[in-house]
Amino acid sequence: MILLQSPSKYMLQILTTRLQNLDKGVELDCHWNEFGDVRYHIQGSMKNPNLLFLSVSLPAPPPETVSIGGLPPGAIDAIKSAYGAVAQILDPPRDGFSLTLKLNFSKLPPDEEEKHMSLLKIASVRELVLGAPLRVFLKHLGSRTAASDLDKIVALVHRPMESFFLIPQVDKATVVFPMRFKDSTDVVLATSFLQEFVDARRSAGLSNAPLCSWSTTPPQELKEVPSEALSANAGYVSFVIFPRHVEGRRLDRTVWSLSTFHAFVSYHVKCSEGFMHTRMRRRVESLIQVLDRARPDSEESKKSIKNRSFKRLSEGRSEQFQIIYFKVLEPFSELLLLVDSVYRKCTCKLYLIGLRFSLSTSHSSRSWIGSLLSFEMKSQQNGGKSSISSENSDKTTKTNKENTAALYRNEVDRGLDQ
Amino acid sequence: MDPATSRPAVVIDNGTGYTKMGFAGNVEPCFITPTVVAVNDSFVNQSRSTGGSTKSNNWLAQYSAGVMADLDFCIGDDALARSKSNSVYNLSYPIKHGQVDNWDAMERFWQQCIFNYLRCDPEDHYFLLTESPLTAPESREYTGEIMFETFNVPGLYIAVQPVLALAAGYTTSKCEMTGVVVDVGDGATHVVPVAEGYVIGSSIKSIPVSGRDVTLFIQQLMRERGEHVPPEDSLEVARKVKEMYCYTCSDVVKEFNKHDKEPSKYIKQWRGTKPKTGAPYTCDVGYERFLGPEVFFNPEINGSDFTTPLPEVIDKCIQSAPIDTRRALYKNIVLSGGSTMFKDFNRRLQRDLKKIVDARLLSSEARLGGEVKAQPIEVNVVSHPIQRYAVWFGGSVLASTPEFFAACHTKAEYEEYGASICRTNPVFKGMY
Ligand SMILES: Nc1ncnc2c1ncn2[C@@H]1O[C@H](COP(=O)(O)OP(=O)(O)OP(=O)(O)O)[C@@H](O)[C@H]1O
Ligand SMILES: [Mg+2]
Repeated sequence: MILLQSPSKYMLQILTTRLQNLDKGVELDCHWNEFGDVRYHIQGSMKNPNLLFLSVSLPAPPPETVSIGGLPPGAIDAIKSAYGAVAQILDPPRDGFSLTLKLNFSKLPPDEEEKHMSLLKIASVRELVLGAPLRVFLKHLGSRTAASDLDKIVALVHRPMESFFLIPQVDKATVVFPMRFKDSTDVVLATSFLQEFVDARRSAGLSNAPLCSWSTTPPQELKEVPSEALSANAGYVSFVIFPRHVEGRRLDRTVWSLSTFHAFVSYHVKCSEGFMHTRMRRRVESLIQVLDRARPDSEESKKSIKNRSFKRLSEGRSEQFQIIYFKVLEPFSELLLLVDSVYRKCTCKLYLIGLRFSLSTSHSSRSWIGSLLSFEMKSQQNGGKSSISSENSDKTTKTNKENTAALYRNEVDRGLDQ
Repeated sequence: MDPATSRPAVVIDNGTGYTKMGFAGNVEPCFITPTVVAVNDSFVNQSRSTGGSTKSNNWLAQYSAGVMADLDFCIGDDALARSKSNSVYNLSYPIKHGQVDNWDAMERFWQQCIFNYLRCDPEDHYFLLTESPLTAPESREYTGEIMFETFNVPGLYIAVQPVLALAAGYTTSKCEMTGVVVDVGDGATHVVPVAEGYVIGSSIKSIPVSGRDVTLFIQQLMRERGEHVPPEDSLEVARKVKEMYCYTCSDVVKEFNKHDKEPSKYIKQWRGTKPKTGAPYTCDVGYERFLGPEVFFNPEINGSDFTTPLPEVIDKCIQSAPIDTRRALYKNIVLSGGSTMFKDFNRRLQRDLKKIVDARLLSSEARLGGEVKAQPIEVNVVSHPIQRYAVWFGGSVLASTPEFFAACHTKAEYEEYGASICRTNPVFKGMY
């Protein structure tokens, strides 16, 4: 999975099973949460299997955004036009929720295909409600009918107490995301990911994609916005959306991609961490094998190493390590030096882009492993020879990252361009 | 206060066969999906086949292909479908016999569970994961490492499956946290005595007969009888036949007679389509309907080395527990896991166990010359409707109590002390 899908898998499952078992209705009462602090509750009774009550609670809006009765502007109209008779908005909504819909299955279209499409639409209620204001603006852009308040900055909520910004103009719209992450490792990864993202935009084949830029300071256009709303620790990403990006069916995709951009980046940051872990495990295992082979007392039974954590491995073996240090590590010393220089280069680069990066935290050790991995790849290329200039391996890291970013970009833009 | 404690915890029960996942406070897991990952291995195989003679411009292309392949994987039913239609994908089962076997696959599996299925932000929720009673503490550390390092979860609790299964009974009847849990899943069968929420570790019995063996046995029976099932599909058919038609009988010989007298009543038809040509086929389902579950009561019919019937194992387990807990343990034998779902499984188990217990009482009375009358022992096998995912349900109940958040290991603790904190997980108040 590269892009997040708009319909909620779980809700779709509930709706379809309910529809298939209309004759044997069951009591239904499910609560669940989704990324960005969206909360759902669905409830149905045995007596009337055709009726379901769907409640949605949205992320708490920050003060700079506009909300009408707890919902983003335009949401009510969007629901009415999308669901028609199938859903009825209850006023007031259930306690603790921003919106409650009464779904009536008997009003679904008779055709199976159409039925499925309406269920899909209901499961995408998040896109419809949260994306409503963005959709209105982009629609104006697409039809080139200027909205009345041109050049006025619009804040749109996408995470609890966080918003992104839209600057509508006559022939384009600029969308700015202040990027915030809790964990400092995430900040480092996200920052480099976003930069590669921007670089990838310049590659051939993506020239139709929205313009995209990243900076450490908020863009000029946002100078009127209060600074609290603009605090960010992983920089600012802006996209320039042209009418061609929001024509016809592209509009929905664009709205969804933009309103979940943060979740998208955060997902891929986690993916890269998982990827690094995979490589780390392989590396540790291969090093342990080397150690095992060089062990002087070979009569000792071989233990399975699979279930050991990195730390355990090093602890348990430290003594042994010392004994065979000279035997095993001698040929590796060149490697260690090299890794060190690669590591220093990385640190410099990170420092240059204005990131705090201290050696003492556990995170640095992971970046260290990152460079170790890039070395590993390099040495594979040279058939195991460890005599490579560090400049080269630095380049390798870069190309790899570019490749990944290009892939991500490709997918997103395919999403935007379709 | 941590805002994550106000959101429901995520409860994931990773089993050998199926993973149950959902949010605490619900009565049902959101998804029950096969624990399997389909990985695009085209890159790995490529580099192996070319061996050492990799050209320098080639490897970079290969590497980037590897990165793409790295994101190109799926789990659960999608994975099964994908591997059928496309040979690029290889299936990998991250859990074997209840223990995590392949951590790379497991990490990917969790990634998909969280982001694609539950669609939640792992930083927003506390997590409750489960493990089998025989899991090594190292494995728990590894789980902790992945959860805290990759997913940045704010808090984590790793619970023992049978304890959760007991807690599941907690709400369905007036039961207390003392009892024997008989967990028969897909890859492992454990009989676990629990006293006041603590597992009596020395008395745990594990037997090498579980759901997968039943499936294999049925597959073999059908093959030997010459049913026309396409070979590549036969395991899947055997599993479905097992889940749909099998039942526990009270006496094998009588059951054979019944089947022979009225075949039309007992023999079922299985209908399927051949995966390659799409042509429909049918096959009969006969004796395997009751012989499948019989594997637990007469393991020798499966031709394995293991011959102790399940009721005897349970009896041995209770006899090895501290003497003051035994009566309470006999009184509360709780079933959990998909393979206890066979019709009348609990009744057969209770009857066989009662026989063993009564025989022992009689013989001891005879030894004492009939002077002392022993109080009869109450044997009670508890079965409840949520048996299939009792472990998950127990987790859902426990994780919705306020004590749960205090019992969790938090990210701050992890950063302070390291992964070793995950080795122990305190029993907390909600549990008993
Ligand atoms: N209705 C049913 N009747 C009989 N067997 C069933 C039924 N439903 C599921 N099973 C079987 O139960 C097994 C899965 O049970 P469960 O989900 O409890 O196992 P698990 O938790 O994945 O495995 P483990 O606990 O051993 O790691 C499978 O072998 C499946 O075929
Ligand atoms: Mg299980």
